[in-house]
Amino acid sequence: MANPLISVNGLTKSFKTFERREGVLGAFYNLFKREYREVMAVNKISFQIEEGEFIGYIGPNGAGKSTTIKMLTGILAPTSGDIKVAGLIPWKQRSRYVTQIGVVFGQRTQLWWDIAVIESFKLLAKIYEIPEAVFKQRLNRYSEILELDEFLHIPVRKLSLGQRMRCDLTASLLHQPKILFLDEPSIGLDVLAKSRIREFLKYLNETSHTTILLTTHDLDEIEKLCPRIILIDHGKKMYDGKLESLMDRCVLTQKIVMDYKTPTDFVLTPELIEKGLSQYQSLNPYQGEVLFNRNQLSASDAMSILFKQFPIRDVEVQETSIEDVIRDIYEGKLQLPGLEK
Amino acid sequence: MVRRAVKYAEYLRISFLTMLAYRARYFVGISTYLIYISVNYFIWKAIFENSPQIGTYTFPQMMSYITIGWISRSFYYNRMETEIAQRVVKGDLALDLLKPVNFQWMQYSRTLGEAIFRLFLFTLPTYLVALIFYPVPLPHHLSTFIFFMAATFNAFMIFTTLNYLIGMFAIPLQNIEGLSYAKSNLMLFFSGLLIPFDFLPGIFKNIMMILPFGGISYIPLQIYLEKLSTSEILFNLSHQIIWVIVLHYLGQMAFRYFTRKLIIQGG
Amino acid sequence: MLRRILFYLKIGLYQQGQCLKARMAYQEDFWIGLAANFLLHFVNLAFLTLIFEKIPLLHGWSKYEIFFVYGMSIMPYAIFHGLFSNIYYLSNSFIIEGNLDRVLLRPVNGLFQIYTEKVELEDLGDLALGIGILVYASMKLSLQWGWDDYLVIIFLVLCAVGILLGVFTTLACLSFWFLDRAGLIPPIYNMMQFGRYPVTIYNPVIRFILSWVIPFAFIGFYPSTWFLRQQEFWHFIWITPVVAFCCLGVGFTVWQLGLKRYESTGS
Repeated sequence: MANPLISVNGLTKSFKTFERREGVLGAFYNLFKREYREVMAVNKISFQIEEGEFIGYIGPNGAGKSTTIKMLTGILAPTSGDIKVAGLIPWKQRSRYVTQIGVVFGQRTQLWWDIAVIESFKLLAKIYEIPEAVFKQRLNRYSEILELDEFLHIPVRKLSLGQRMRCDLTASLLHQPKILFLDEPSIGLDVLAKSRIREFLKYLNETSHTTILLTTHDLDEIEKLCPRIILIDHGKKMYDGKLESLMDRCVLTQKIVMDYKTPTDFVLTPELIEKGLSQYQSLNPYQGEVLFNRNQLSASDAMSILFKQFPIRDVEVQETSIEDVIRDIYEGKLQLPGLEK
Repeated sequence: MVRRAVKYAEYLRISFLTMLAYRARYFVGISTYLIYISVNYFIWKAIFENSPQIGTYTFPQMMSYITIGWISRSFYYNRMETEIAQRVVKGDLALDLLKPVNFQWMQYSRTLGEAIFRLFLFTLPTYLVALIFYPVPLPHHLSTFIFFMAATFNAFMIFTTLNYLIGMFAIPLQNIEGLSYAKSNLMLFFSGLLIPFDFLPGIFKNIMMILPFGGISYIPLQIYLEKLSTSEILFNLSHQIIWVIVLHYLGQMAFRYFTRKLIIQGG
Repeated sequence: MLRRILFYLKIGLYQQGQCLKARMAYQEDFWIGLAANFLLHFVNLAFLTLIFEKIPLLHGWSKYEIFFVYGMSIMPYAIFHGLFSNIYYLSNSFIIEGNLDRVLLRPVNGLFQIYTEKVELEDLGDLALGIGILVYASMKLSLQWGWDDYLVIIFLVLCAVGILLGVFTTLACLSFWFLDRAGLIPPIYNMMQFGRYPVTIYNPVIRFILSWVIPFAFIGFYPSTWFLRQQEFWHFIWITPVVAFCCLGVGFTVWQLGLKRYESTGS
């Protein structure tokens, strides 16, 4: 395809924040004079997204995820940089643009608080000028998949969080947007509700080819849904690509835990270190663990080396979870090699 | 006793800081009182246009009545009933019940914190600004001023205990916006702030004098204008205090009654 | 164009209809609200009645003339408040709590969405009361209403609604810059008090402000002069629509500017 659906170049957003002084005297002083500080919420981020992609947009709290989403949806104007989505500039051509997108904020509903869900949907149908028959057909489709029937006539404020999210999703899809933005859609949901929404999103992406951009803290969700992730921290893009390749690049060492047949005491010899083993630790006389470098050794190679050393009853290669990797990146323990800084 | 006071003093301090956090509200607050004083000034000026004295009031007396009346209001005013209602709606009241403090006293100390804040940041500045446009003479005797201060503190207590009582209705009703609005509209008149009770026909005036609301504006202002003898002042101060006690206990009873219902129904 | 108007009309009415439906569940709130509004007018009218017990004319205006102005001034406010009062919550509910995002994500004018999200039925009571006072005062003043008078009054009331809409939209939108929950609405709201009396009783500065800065004199007083003092004030009546047009223009411009700012700060 010639033009990507979403194209973001050097996107930057800075805010001024006002610093409150402490104490009663400080509060008095605040009445008359305030001091401001500039904060870079989003710092020169660029990426392209093709039609039909399912992107996980992740980063720790305050990394600039929501700010990016707000700019992508046209609510916020960038300080500098360009955004072009479906040929439109979101914040400049908003009223045309918003008919192309659906947005769900997990933190708050977009439905009318006091009125029945179905009435909210009807109102949206009017606002987006969806013909009656088309609206009915879409509503039936979604309410079947998401099982909305039982609470369509209840006001939004009385719904559970999971029910509300299903309704919010439906509301954002009634006008069949090309792109769906989801900001923490699963926040506060229970396991069952999460997996239901997850399945629905997968289905939507596969059958309707809706492009989806999802921010979440739930990495399990990312792993199950998003072939591609964009990782940001402190407003900067840290990684953009497949989740597996992130793992490949970041997980340099893996751990093997061994159970011995007889009590064993052991020290790593220089040759073994040369081969790629490191940091042997004896857990107890019958158990020990050792790290191997994945660039030098495969897991089976490492095991065959170890089997030669001691009488081993059982071994276990410990998988490093995405959570660990991402957490290490967030905490700065893991430097991503060769990424834009 | 001291430790308990310290605990309530903390609420007082927090409310003070909260008030300071909103600067627009602060500047807006002062202007509001000046507007009310101004509207009343011009109306009363027009009323006194052709007569130097109406009833027992001369125009300067009337102006002192209105100006001091509105300025004191900037001290005793609070929206405790709305705050209580907000806590009820958000479900915070249940949390308050778990705290080892008495809810009523906690509300009083919070409001007192607000009142002290208001005294320095609303009442005094408003008074100084009002002085430029509407010069109000000070009372002739220091004792008058002291009695006036005492009566104004009582006014604060009546206003507060009444608000607490109204606030209690948020427990069963949830929304008391209308009720609170109705109360403040009625209070403008029943407190004597809008017009002194002396303009009312005899029987109405007597009723007003028995009700607690005159203690909010009418009584302190009569003291300020030195229209009362010392024994009358003492009588009126005790009138205020008795009503404070009655309203306090009514509030306490209402709290017990409604929270008991709340607990039984599991609202 | 016509299609667009019909589209907006449909959405507006639908939203308002839904609001009414939701409110039906809280009937007692409606009655309490209605009573609270009535109490305010009752208190103000009682004040005027008591005053006119003591004096024949207020700066040359008779009791029923003043009543007429009062009745006239509450009608436009009732219409404005009934249909557009949601603008009061722009700062609190839309900017601070983030509901404005929701509004901006829809392909319908944001201000229109905010206006029509709420209707206050209680204000029908005020409208009726205003008409009642007007009829009563005209009877007492033995005014003869021709068909053209009805048209003029309806037109002037609509202009007054436009003025209120413009002024309060401007004020509400100022919270895009001065973010504070209280905002500038309360003091200006209080200034409406001034507009309930003939502006001739005020000094030139306040008269000027009420006519040309925050033109609340055009809400009740100048329209009333169509009946009461036409010779003296006819030019004010003629420029009422111009004033309304300007107010609305300022309001919508400030909204647009505010939105630009919101887009660049996100709060």
